[in-house]
Amino acid sequence: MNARAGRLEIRELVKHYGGDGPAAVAGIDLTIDPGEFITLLGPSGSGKTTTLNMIAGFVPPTSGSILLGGTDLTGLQPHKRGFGMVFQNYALFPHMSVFDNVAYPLRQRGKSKAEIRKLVLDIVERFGLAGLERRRPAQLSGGQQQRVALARALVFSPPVLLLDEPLGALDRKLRAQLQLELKKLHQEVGLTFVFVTHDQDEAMYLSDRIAVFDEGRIDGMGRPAELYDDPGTLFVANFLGEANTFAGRFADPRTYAWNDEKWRTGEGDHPAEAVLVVRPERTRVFAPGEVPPGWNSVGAIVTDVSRLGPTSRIDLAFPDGRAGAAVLPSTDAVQVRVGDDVRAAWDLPSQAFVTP
Amino acid sequence: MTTTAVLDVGRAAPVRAAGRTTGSRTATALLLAPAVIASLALFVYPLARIVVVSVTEPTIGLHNYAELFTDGYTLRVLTRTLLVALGVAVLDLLMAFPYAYAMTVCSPRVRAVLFTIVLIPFWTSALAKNFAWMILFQRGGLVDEFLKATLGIDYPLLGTTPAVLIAMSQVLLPFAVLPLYASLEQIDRRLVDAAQGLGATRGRAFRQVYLPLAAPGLVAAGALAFILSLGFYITPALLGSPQQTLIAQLIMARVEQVLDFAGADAIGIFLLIVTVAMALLSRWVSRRATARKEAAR
Repeated sequence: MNARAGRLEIRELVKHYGGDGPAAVAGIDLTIDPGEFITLLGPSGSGKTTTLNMIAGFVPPTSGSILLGGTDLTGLQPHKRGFGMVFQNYALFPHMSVFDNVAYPLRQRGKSKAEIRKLVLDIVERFGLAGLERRRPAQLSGGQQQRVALARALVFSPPVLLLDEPLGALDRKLRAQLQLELKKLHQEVGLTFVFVTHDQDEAMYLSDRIAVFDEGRIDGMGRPAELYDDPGTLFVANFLGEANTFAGRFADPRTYAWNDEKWRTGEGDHPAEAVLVVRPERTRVFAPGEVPPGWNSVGAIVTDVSRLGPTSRIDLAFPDGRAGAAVLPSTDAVQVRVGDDVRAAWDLPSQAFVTP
Repeated sequence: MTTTAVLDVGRAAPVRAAGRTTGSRTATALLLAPAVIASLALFVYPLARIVVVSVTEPTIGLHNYAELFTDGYTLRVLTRTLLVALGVAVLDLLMAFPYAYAMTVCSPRVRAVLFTIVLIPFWTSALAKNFAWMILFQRGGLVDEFLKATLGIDYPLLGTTPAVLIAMSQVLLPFAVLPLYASLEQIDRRLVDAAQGLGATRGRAFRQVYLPLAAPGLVAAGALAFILSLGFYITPALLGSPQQTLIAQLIMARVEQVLDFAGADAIGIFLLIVTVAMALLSRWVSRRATARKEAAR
């Protein structure tokens, strides 16, 4: 399946839906390597689905181009692009059996009856759907429907698989199970996956790389762990997980001032205008005067303490009135109560500066 | 009204049986009473009378019905009526399908305009519509002059079956458009996208995915136009030819000209049976198509 795979390049892609409103997609550049699992992550209205629809050919771009293995696809009709696609809610054809659904792309390609039968039965077997060929989509469970949608999208060996929030409608448990299946599938087939979701955990779990969308632009791009630790922008920091944020200024290149606090900035370059962010799980809580030397800290009042199974969460209010949190392993006994005056502290590697 | 119920047009939401108490049962009976009494007095009783008259006058027996099949005339009129109704159904579907389809894809504001355009003839008096057609179709009328000028056809439409067909299609168009729109609106348009994304051309995606899903709605809308056509009186009377009457005119003629009430009753009952049979048939077809579609929700 890998032989025809090529690099998918998106260049300066713009979509304006007309009117005076802002562009739905305002200039996207993205190069996706063969075999990569890339996730377009963002809130609704951020342009991620429009971008996917332009890649698939359902939405004509206002400007920019889309290339696969060097070939320009931009003006091509969807049926000529040859991508596999899994839709939100699967879009299985309700009036066709599982067999006919999976056979659909093969029939469009004029394959012989014998070949269709062989390919469909093979993939149906591989996706654990053997024996269900004559059922209609409504007679299947959510998980089975998803597998039919995947089988239908993969049966004709497309070079790229596009997935539009395919797990959006499922309950949590099934979702987790299908995420695992999807990840295994990607490792098995080695195809390029372009996956759209608004769920950051899903994106972190599945992707080789994540592109975080905001207002029609890619705000941050990188491997999940890198992007999480060094989000680059405040939007990414807040969207990808949770963050305690402090919008202060540099008193000098090695000192960051916020409220009455002066913090050390550590080595390395920082943007001139920057917001300091610390992840809750890297924030610790100490009694005043017990902060370890070399750590930065800020006064806070405990507003809530809750134990969430493996972790415990301490909700905090900072002097500027903003809320924050510290998340600790439940095994670390913490003796704090609601209303306590504490110091929330972190060591230098735990802080990151992002552009506002 | 019976036909609508039999046809399943505009499927009603399932009514949840609420926990019933004796008090609410009395209330239910009271709420139903006016409609039940009216229906018994104004529909069931006269209908029963008609049935009784048709088999008792002038003598007891089925001779009034036997005559329908032996006079050679009634069956011809009935066939013509069925053919005209079929023509109306087909014409209406041909016009209603693109129209209702456009209503599902346009903006809400355009949809409101399209709705109003469909409903205006609905709110116009039947006589006004038929007289308007008479003026258009008459010799020297707009349509007649237009046909002569552009196509060189000298065929005054007034007094012909095609005129009846055209006018009836116009009158019944809202009855085809509205249920069809309600049905098409339920179809997930992403399915057509999905088909194209999987390699189908636009035409094939439409034929293989959209049309099968639209079939139950098409059958229901066509059947409604067909069945309503069967009882049309004013339009064929004003625009049609006396030599090519439809069945409602035949009934009228029996009553008014020959005073043969029993014969008219027999034709009426026969028409009712044919209508109900057609309604059941279309419901069966529509159910089969729906079952295929809904097997899948």
